[in-house]
Amino acid sequence: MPQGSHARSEFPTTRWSIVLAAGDWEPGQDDGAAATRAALEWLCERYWQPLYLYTCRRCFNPELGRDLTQEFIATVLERNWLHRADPHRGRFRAFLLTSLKRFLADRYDHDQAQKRGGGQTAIDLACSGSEDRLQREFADQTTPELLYERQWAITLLERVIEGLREHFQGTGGLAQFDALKPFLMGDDQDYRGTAAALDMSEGAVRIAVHRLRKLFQRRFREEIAETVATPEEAEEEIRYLLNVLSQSPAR
Amino acid sequence: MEPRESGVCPKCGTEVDSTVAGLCPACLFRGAVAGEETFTGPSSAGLVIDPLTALAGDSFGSYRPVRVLGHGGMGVVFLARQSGVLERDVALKVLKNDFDTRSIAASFAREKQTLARLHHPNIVNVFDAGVSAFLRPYFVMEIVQGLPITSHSRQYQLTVAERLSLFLQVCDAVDHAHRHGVVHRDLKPSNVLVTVEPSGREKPLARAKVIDFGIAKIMAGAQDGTPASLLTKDGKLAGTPGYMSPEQAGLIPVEAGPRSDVYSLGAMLYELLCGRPAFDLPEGTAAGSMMAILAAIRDHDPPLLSERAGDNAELRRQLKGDLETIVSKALAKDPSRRYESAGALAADLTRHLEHRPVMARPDGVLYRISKWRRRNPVAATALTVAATATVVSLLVAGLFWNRGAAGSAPLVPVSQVPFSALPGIQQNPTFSPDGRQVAFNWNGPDQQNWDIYISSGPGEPPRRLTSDPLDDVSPSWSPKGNEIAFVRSRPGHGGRLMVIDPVSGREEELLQLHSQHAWFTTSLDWSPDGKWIVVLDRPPGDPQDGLHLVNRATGERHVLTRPQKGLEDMQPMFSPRGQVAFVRDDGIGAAVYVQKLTAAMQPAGPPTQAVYSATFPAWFPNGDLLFHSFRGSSFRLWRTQLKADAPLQVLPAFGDNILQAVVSRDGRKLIASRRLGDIDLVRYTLAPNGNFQGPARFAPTTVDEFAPMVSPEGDKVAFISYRAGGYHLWTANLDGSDARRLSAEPGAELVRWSPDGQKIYFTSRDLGSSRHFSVDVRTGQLTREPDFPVYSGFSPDGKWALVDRNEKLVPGVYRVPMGAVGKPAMQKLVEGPAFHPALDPDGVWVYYTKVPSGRGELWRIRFNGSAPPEIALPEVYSPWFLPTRRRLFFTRPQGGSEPRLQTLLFQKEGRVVKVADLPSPIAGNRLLGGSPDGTTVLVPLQVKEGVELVLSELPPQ
Repeated sequence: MPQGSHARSEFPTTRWSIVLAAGDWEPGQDDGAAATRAALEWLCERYWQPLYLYTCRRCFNPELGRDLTQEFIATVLERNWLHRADPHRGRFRAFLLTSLKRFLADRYDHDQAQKRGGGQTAIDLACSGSEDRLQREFADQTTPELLYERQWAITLLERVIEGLREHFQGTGGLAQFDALKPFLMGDDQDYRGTAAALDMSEGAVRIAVHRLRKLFQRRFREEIAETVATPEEAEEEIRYLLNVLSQSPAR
Repeated sequence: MEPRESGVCPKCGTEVDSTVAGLCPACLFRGAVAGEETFTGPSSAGLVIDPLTALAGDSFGSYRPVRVLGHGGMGVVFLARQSGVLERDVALKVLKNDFDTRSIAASFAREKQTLARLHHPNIVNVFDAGVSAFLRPYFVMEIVQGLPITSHSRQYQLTVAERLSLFLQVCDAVDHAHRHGVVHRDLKPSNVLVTVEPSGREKPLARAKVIDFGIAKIMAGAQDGTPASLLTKDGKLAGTPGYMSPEQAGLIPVEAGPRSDVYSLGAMLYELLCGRPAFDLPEGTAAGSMMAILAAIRDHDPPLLSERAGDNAELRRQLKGDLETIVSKALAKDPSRRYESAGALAADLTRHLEHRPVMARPDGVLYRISKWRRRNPVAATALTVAATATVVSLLVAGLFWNRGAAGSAPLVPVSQVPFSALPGIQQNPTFSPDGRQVAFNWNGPDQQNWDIYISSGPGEPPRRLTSDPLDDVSPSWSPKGNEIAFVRSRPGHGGRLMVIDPVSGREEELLQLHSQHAWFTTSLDWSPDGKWIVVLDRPPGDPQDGLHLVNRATGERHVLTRPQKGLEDMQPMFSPRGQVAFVRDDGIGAAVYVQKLTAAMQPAGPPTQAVYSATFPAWFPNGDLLFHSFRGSSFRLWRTQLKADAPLQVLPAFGDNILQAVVSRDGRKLIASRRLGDIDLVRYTLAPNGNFQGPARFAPTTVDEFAPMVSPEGDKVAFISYRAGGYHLWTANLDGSDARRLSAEPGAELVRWSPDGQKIYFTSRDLGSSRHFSVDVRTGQLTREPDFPVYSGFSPDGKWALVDRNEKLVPGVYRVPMGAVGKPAMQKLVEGPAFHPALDPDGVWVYYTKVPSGRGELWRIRFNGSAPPEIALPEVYSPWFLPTRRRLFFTRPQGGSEPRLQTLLFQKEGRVVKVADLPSPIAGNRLLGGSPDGTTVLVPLQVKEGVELVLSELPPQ
């Protein structure tokens, strides 16, 4: 290893990188497995909504969608699906969607087999991917994938905003946060009116907005970072999700 | 402005089907990633903000800032009112820095508990500390009204004895804190306030109060998680250099610790006694005059106290002698020569006050020689080895103050002693199972042949175990202790896996190895049960070296890793639990991987990456991983707990230049190989008679200097040097004169001149992260550059740049229009693999090799891509070649000697001419440099080298 050769850049340990790093732990090392499982649980719980929407859209059945999503998450946590994750590439969002598709396909195969054997079928044909008929009935142009990605971006923002609400609840600044949060979208807001409403000077509002924005942007990047393993991936993910959100949800 | 739950966002016009807390998701997302150009900050809105207003909207728990009390280097102090049961006025110190991450906020929380426990009459009470709603760290303290200790002494015209007695209070406070594991790190007069209470006598009762304990550490941590350095990010001096120890200024490779505070106490005492600072250095000095400051801190001793006493003969008499010796001992450049604690300093001052003999001694002759040698390296090279040995032993005695991260055992060596201390290279140490003996390979007293040796203790003469004329390397002691496995090889010709009885010397050949590996680093290891050996091999048909398991008894073989093309696996090490750590190198960087095994000794799944940018893995008995890495500006050993919740925390340990290390089975001893070396640039210049003259030394340093890059005009050379501690970017004239440091942080590499010669591009690597900069050669102005691309050269018109980068692990050569960002603009010039691309000064040809190192053809292609590649020279030794306008310099191994000893030649108009046989090995992976006209060439040579073993005892785990 020559001195001064290029280095890979280092990225803070994120939950997704913990999951990736822990491809396999020794059976005796419960603590390692537990850390991995905890990280994965945290991630799955946080991003349950996009999974659910995707499954619903594939099945066109909210009840079944909910059950399948739960079953999928349980499967991810119990079985070692991580071996299927390529440790060099891939973000949590993509990994989860690929895994979910595979899961639904497996379930479909399984149910088809049961059907042939005369067993009960749980999954409608709709979930197999050949949902043309139903799709026409629903007359919705949004693909399940786009829906999933859109909801992913929204969930991400929701997590950040929720986190900030909790933070300011703890410090007693919740009312101020609620008044200032529209400023997170941009500067073209009513500083003067807000200042009057909060009984602060306009300068003080500008300061508070500036600080709040920094906090928001930092929390946002931290949230993204949890789902990727390298800084490059974080940047890519941001670009990707921004693009997804900028498309109007076709209805 | 807020959109309804669904509809069209009035701001961006997109259709909103669901909102986030009533806000448009697309707008919110854009807001999350928008920069300053989108948002008007309060200052750019034309507002003048006083410190109190600057806290608007923030909350500090139960403390409400009321008015400003004062400004300090680290933040602003407010008078604050505490609400609640305990209504009172307090001092609220709000630090300048924000916390960048939650993890630092967590370590801050731990630190604050330590500080809150620090009760001492001479330490300002810290009641509370916390992080505000907007993540500003703050401290709540008692309000102290008083003058800095120096001003107080002046105002009350204290006698020397009174000053000393006040100073003893400070020592007592610092000693107390040290014993609680808190280092101040920023001791200076303005951090020692003196309060006065009426005493009924002529002079009031004075009490010294030290403020800001431990805050410097938190501030440093808040910046970027790295230790405090002399320079802030914008290149200004951080802290107060006059009171900062050489190790805090990053000038010597020792962790800042209690003895750093002793140094600062010494500087303060100096000023207190003679009324003038020891080092008269302004705060916030621009980087331009940095050299003077660094030089002063590193090399110069302040004038003797008595010389600064002016006309006051009585004061001169009082200061002369003991006090001068005491201050000088506290201000020693080398931490190990200072008082070991503030208490020891206080004890000596007390002895002086009581007219007893003090412990401090004036500098001895040897020490003065070594100090002189550091300041005058040219003349000093003529000095004997004895003087060199002194310097080395001073550094060996360095301090290690490391409380470590929570939950991990600190790796603090109790001692570190030279173990082998032989000439040449001793490496690949392996402990006997009982830890009493160490086997290693050594290239012998005359450095001719590698054999296995065994030694039973520091300084013990080693016993030679093998004497085969082939190279015997990479020993590994079996767990039962009855055998040592090693590799017998000729580099480039494969080898044999051998075992030898360490007592009888009976040898047995186990296996033919086909790897082309040079074998000089760890190549094999025993499984914990002693039944299997993991070894590097490339069986016929395999494209790459992989790791293989060989059963000692039956010869059964399992393939452990079969890396894809472009990857190389090496340095396998069995963990106590039977996993194998190894290094995987992809040509750009190396990382430590861990491969799990099944009970049947087959690979269980693919290997997982454990640590980036690391080599030489080894294991502690508890399963912690030890590795070697360039982090924090030097090569060091690190430790990580693979199984913890945050698995990639690393701990610094040991000093510079350690290469590899292993831990004994009981975890109490660590043996490491340490590089003793000096890479220097030498210069060959064209003489009027048409021959090259040389070698001339470029600069008379005793530190590493390499990677010379000559400017397009051919008048300046940029290079990497360790002169200021840490690998920095420097420039100088071609003869080495007028050397100037240009980088602010250590870890500079990948140096390139801009086509107009006005700027130098370089990459700064520290703690594993890379940042790209350019520096204006005239003004020293540093500019952060985008992360892509890293240029390898430029066309003379400045329109095109050469870039080498990996595509799917295969290095290729590209050209990009200057200023372009991103992949699409890249034009592939050469289908990989292509290494070390270099553009000639006219921008016509790109030269490259197809092997990363060693013998191979030198290829070239037109930079405009107008013709297919062609062979420029049938044989060169990669990577040492250099195209210039008139000559193409390259190297070849001298005769049949070790490949690193090279002959420098050049080709001109199809003719090959010898420049010189290089007098010592060309150094590592360092490049040649030369003037564009080909009349001067600079070569990095290993002028001194060796690798010795050092033994450390570790505290119980």
